Amino acid sequence: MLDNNIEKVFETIKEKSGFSSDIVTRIIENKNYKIGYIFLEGVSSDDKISDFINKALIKLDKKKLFKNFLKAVENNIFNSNINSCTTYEDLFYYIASGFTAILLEGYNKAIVVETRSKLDRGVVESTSETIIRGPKDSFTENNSINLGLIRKRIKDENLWFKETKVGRRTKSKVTVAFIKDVAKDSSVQKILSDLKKIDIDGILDSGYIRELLEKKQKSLFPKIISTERPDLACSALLDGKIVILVENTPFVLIYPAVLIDFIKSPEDNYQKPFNVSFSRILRFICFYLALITPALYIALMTFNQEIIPDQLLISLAVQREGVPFPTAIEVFLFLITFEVLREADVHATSFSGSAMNVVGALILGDAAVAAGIVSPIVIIVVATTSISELVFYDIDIIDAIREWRILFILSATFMGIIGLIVVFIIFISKLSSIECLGTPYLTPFSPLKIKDLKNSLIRMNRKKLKNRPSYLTNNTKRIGEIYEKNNN
Amino acid sequence: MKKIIISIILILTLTGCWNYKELNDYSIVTGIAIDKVDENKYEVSTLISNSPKNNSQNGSNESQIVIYSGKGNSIVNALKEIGLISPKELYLGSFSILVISEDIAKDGINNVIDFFFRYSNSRKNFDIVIAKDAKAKDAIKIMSPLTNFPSQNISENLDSTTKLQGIISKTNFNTLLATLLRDGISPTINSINIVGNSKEGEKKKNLETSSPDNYVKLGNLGIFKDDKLISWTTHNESLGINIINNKISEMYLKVKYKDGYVVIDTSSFKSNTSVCLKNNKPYVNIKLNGTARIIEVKGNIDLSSINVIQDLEKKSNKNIKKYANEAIELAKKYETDIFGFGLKFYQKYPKYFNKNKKNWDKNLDKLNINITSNIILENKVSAKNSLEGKNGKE
Repeated sequence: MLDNNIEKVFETIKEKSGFSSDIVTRIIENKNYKIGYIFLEGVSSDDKISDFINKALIKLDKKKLFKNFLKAVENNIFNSNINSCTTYEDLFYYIASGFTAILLEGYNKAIVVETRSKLDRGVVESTSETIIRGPKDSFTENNSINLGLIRKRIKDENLWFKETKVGRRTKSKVTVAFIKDVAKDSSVQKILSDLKKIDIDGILDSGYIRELLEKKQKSLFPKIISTERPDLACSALLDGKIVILVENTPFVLIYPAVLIDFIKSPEDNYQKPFNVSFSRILRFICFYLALITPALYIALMTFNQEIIPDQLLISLAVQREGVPFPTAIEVFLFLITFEVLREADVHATSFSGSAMNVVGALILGDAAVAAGIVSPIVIIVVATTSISELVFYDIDIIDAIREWRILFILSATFMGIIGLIVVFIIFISKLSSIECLGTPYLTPFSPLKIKDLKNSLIRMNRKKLKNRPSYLTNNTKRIGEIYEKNNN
Repeated sequence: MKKIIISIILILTLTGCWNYKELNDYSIVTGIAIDKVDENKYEVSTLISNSPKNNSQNGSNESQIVIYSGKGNSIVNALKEIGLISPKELYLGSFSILVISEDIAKDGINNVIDFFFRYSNSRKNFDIVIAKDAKAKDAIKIMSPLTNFPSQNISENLDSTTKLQGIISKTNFNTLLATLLRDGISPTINSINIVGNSKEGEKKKNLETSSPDNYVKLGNLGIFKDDKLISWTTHNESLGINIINNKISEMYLKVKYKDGYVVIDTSSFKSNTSVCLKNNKPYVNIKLNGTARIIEVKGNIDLSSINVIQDLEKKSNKNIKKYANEAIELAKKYETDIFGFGLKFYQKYPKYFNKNKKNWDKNLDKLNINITSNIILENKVSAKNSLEGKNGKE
């Protein structure tokens, strides 16, 4: 409970926060009343406080003060977001979130007024998921802007936001968004209860939540899409998925995800169906290319040469001539080189980037071949692999592919094609054993859901996509009946 | 997870580095030639194609060829002797051509075919030709400026001419094996000839001129009785054999007409052989069908007249029949069933065939063979009359 003495309250808060330098307090005292307010310098806007609170408090109408002082103060403040609180904990949470607390002598209740300063960068273009066609805005670090970006797109009363605070110290707002009559109620309840169970000191990004929500089942493949595109989040909501927004990060989580969701790209919704189908099939091929190309190369070169066509075999054999390392080591050497380059590229500033291009393309590629350390075909193999994996926009799936690829290479190194097939069987069974919120990972292929195939590897015309995915929702009707009739 | 780890460990330890071999530890053989030297001694020559060119820059995928030969009283012994010469293990997994010398073909090719069938490291999908009037070894020596190595030259030549040249029909190992294993059919294999000097042909000089004097050329068929080569055929006989065996889809026929001639080019040419027994007498019906167009005309021939076209059709049918009959006469002469009539009887009337199996080849002339040819001249190709005819009218 708050004390009813202003100085006492100020003293307590300062003491609790170790006399932190950003605490600002002020007391306005005159004959009739004594009012104090407290805020944190960084998160609150000085202008707002002096314009709307300070002025209001000074110009208080003295006549009305005696009737209901608290009410009167509240009514006099020009602000739309006013709350009250009675405990020190709440009080500190509010002032840390950018509120200003107004304390009245003699009342053990504080009025908190929203005076946030703008600490975010505003809505800008998405940098991690760029597209050619479609909306360009992206989520920001500001929670209310993020909610606004979704609400702006779906103006339905059934779009519900459920907010919980996660993190003992950070007290981050985690909002679960879903459309009430579309999303499965059980899934929503499960996520909400899972979120409430989380007890950790801090949440800084949605990545924390994703890791904490993941149950026993460990898998390299991601079960959650994280995106910074509001349009993607909204299309997921309309499908019946659940979106989790976390304060202070532009990346929201979309629950649940199946493998085919990672083969889709954000702009698939805005392109012509035929083109979308084409590029999805291309991405699907790339998925396997990125997985097994190096392994297949090793298996063919060291165990199963009889599969290679004659002309190619001889040209490969001549290229291999004089290379001092076994094929497997050669491939490993170059894959690792590429990974190092990629790792360096992520953190490279713009001026060191061009130096890296030279090192990567010229020295590691051309010079290595000329020096006879690797055969040219290995560079082609590694290049094919790494280009293929870069067609995916989700970084998690790229990493998953990378890890499985190493397993494939190891098996091919020791057991050739047979090993490749063995690991492939393990791979497929592992994939089909993953599930997220009760949805098997290979849906709609296994278990086969023919209706949902319309928007999987291929996308049919939107007029034909009458239903929402049946594994996500029971309310599958997407297109109005009259419209459907007219278009048939 | 435990199970997976255990199974991976088991697979690794139980199989070991099973069959692990780097590609550059192999000498890749692309062609094999088998000759006979002395009595009962084989000389096996292998064409190794992956030795890098010593004067080329690193990373270039050009290669030069090396031919190593070994002698031994068996094919395996001869191959083992090559192993002593070659620094790398011989790799027979991707050779495309096998050249057998005439001597061996005359003695019988069963043991050669048996070896490649039995030898597990050998490829089972290669073509076979027989070196005529030359050593088989020489046939795989001669370089062609159009291909990288001689074996490729021969096998690509076989591929491109089969079905289109009339006299060539490539013999694949698998089909040859099936033919040898069956009763009532004998194989035919194309010959390969060396034009020019084989000593000159193996030199680089042969590649440097624009008109090489030394080259290998595919030739007429050789006919076999069981596994033994008994005779070479002439051009017309080869054509006849391939006509009956349905190994042709396109061929050129010269038809004499008046003082000039017409050359027709058949397309979708097909032969259909059926057998039947009537009153316990064997009948063979060979139906030849196809369409043809005129591609060359000499002399004053009025191609717009339907009578002329019908006449030409009749004549070309007669020509085709003549070729087929020549081939059949040849088979009768050498008493070998190269057309597989016996096999057809076996498939339809097994009891009848088994009864007559012993003397089948000798009794070939007792077969009543009926050939009908039905070539239709379809397309006269834009110009109705020959240029000569046009001039004549004016």
